[in-house]
Amino acid sequence: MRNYLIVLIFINILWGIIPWPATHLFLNYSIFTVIFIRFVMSAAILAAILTAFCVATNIGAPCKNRITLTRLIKYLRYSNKDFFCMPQWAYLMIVAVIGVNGQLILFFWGLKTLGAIVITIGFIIALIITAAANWSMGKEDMSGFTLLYLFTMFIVMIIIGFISGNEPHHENIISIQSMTVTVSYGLAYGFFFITSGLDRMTNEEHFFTREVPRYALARTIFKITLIFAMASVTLIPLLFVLKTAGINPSLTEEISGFFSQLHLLFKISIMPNMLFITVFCTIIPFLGYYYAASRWPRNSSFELWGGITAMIEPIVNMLVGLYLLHESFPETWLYVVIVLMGIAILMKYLSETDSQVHSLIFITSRPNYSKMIMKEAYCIKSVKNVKLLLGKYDFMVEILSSSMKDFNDVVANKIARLPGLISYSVNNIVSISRNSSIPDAEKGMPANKRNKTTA
Amino acid sequence: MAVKMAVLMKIKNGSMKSVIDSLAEIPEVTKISSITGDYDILLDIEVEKPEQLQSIYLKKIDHIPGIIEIHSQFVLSEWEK
Repeated sequence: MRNYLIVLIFINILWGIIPWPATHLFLNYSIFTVIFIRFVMSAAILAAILTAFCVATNIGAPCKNRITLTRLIKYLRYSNKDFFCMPQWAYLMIVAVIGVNGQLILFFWGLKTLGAIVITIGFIIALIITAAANWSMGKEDMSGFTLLYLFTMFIVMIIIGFISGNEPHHENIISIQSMTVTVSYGLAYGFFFITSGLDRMTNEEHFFTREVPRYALARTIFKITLIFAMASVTLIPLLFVLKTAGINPSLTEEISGFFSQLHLLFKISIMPNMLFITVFCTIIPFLGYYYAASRWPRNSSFELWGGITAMIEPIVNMLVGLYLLHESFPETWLYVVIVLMGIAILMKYLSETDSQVHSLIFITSRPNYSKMIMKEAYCIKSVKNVKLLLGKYDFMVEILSSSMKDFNDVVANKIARLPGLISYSVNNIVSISRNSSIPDAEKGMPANKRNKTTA
Repeated sequence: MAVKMAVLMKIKNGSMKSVIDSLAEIPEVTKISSITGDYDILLDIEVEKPEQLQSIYLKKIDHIPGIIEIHSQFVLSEWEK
């Protein structure tokens, strides 16, 4: 797991560096030009990567196990049960417009007017909103550690806002406009955090993934490509609306700048700063993030570590703001903020591990229901593993839930309603130990595939 | 073809650690989960031939003090995410 954790940390550092190349581009180009090029280039490169990935997977594979464009497009027609039963394409469109376009416009706008350090407040607001939303949806328990985490984040927000208010910035954070930008950015980013993962696979996709494990990654690349493509396509009409509305003279000027720079798109796209944003701050982090998610060890929650490492991004943002962009902010206070963020990371870790429920459910069932139970249980979101047994019990289902509420919901509404179920018994896992005589590299391998000296 | 077993055990009070330590020394044991509920331990065993199970039970597990009850089950198939 350590390697994938390092990947996650590295990814968040890359995401955090974005204010550095972006601020240099803002000196000569509109924020919308940078956003548009980032989306178009990322979508094009990801589409090329997806094509190569599918071709490599399909070579020598039987027809029924090929990842085709038809299969990927079929995914768009499925109903998204986690997002108001909308078709997937509508869900992706909403994420693209509000979560991606809205978030990035407000982030870049804040970055240009307020600076990298102050706009971090928006990120913290997003984390607080996400924690509140997860709690209201039963995905997270409001434990003492969670409250401490939220309180620490709130203090960080107050410190950054208060100290910045006394510094000679581009714009004062205390102004209504600055607050609106920061809070809106927080809301949009929070929306992205909450909604971006709400597209669990259908039963059909689950079974196909069992046959072709690479489908999960192909589906994710396809999803990101589409989100970027949709974000770039919807950006232009969105800009027309914003320009017509005339919300802010500086914003209107930025929009006019974008339309006057359209003929320079290719030239800007091959500039080092723009290439850095596209490759190192977009494509590599996104691919790395979902690669880590697809390879994450089963006995650990990716959401947990994804959430914890996400807090590295605002820390890097602030360091970039102070040391690379030379924004005015007292160094001592910055370290105070970083220490508090470190405490918040610890609290987040403790709150999530504290509330996580890892359990085994043993099931006895009626004859002729084996296949149906196996399929139904496998498609439950929190289920990590289903074993068909011969002995006292018929099935063993392993569940990893983020909270007790979530776990109760899974057991009461999913497991207890499995077809043909006679009885079930719930056993919580206290700890797991692996055989110490098996080398790390061979753990999890079947005995017959291990080194003969150890097996 | 590898044979997988899911073995549930009830353990005598105060013997948990020594039993887990002894089980961890058996090479065919791939995972030991300490659980709450009807049983105390879930053991994942994997062998290449079913005949090996007899020697594991008789020569290794049977000699571990502190095990009260054992329920063994064959894993017929496994779907893992």
